[in-house]
Amino acid sequence: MERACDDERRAAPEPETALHCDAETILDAVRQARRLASEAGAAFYGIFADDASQPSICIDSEFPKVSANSRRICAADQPWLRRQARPLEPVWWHDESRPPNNGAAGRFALARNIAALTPSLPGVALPVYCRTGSGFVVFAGHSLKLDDKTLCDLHLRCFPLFDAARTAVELRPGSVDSLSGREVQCLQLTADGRTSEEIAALLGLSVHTVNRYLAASTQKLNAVSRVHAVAKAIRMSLVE
Amino acid sequence: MIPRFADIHAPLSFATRSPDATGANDSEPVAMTTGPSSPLSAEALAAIDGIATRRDLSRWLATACRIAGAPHFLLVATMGDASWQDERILASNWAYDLVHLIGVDHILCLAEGEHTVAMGAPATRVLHAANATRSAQANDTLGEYGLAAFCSLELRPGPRHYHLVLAAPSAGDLKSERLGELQMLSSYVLSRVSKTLFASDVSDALSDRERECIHWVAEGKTTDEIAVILGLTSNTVNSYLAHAIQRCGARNRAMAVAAAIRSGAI
Repeated sequence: MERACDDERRAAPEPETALHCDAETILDAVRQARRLASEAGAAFYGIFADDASQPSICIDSEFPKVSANSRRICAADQPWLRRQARPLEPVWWHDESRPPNNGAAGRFALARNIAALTPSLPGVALPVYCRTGSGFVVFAGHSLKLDDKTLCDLHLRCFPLFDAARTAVELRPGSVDSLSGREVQCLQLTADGRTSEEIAALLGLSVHTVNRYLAASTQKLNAVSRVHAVAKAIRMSLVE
Repeated sequence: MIPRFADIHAPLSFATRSPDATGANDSEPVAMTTGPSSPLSAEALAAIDGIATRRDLSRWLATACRIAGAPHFLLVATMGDASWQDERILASNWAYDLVHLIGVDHILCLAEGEHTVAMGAPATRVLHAANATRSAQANDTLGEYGLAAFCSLELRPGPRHYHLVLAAPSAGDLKSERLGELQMLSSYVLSRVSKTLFASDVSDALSDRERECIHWVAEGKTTDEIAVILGLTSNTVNSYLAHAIQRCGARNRAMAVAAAIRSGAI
């Protein structure tokens, strides 16, 4: 049921605001994000969704504008930002302009250290894989207060937050992330060796519908055949 | 058909660790204590690095679930992860005969019903044995085996997700304040090990020619196009591909391409 609604929402015409957003749900997502940020002691937060090759910003702490930090993250050239190279584990970084002495965001058993995503601000980034897609949430600030236990709790709450933000904000149309949940599901089952008939039986759809989903995803991925689409989707980590 | 979980099941009566889990190769890489006050995260985290086999994974999950109040667990793959329903149960410490008495289909319903706790969902929903599955007989059997309360946690370590079913003698045993942590840590573990533990390795199985053909199929080429590219006849290309599909243990070209990419062969 949910997926069907989701598909309809995606198919709806683009709203004419610069940000492509759904005003009712976006404020809720912003409220959720602010609450988490203040609990973590973060001055900056940003919710990023995976796009074709680089992350795109959904919402950040300067909503409805986009902060310089977010723009820098979207344009940064760090392997971790590519979803193929991103395990679920959180990552953290310290303020590179200061000596790493008062490690407020240091010493996580749970997280890996990477080069700073936000220069001059210590922070953490928490990857998420949700029904609505994949991405990560960044919290940064000089008074960040986190330990392994609170980091784990924060990470868990980033999943509903990401779903809320990702549903509210449309990324640029035409990007591969515009594959719907059903399309990804059909591609995944195809990669698992299932035929259209089997997928139809498993998902409770008609064979014709399954074929339409697969044709749509093949087209969106700019592939020439179903197998080509599967190969591209795996390489982009849309499916496993 | 012999289900895969046969080698990792443990008797229902185990108190701390099942005897068969201590044997063989290991030097206790995933040892954790289960004192009532032990923080789940610190010890569970320290043990994550030691997980190298399915048995290690099973033992880690068993201990982590026990800290969260559930003596029994089942790890279930989402649909499509394996060709056979039985193979969707990736790890468990349920009694082997219990899994078969209940039936895999009913267990999958238990894992994937509406009561499933999504990542970060605020409320924990506990199912009681009386309405655990749609079969009254199966529910009775669960009760007889001392499993009265169930909770299914959704795990999202990556694009593919899983369900971790916890089972306890009574609903009060499940420590609701620990379930979120268990859900997150188990997801971390699966994010690390699922690729190596649940994927078949085909990287060495393919010959150079087969690899070449599969490579071009993954680029969207047809048999005829590959024949021209490689200077072979279409029949030869098809025969290479048929062999490659067989060696990947795949059912068709799409599955073979997927397996080859996952294993890094192409």
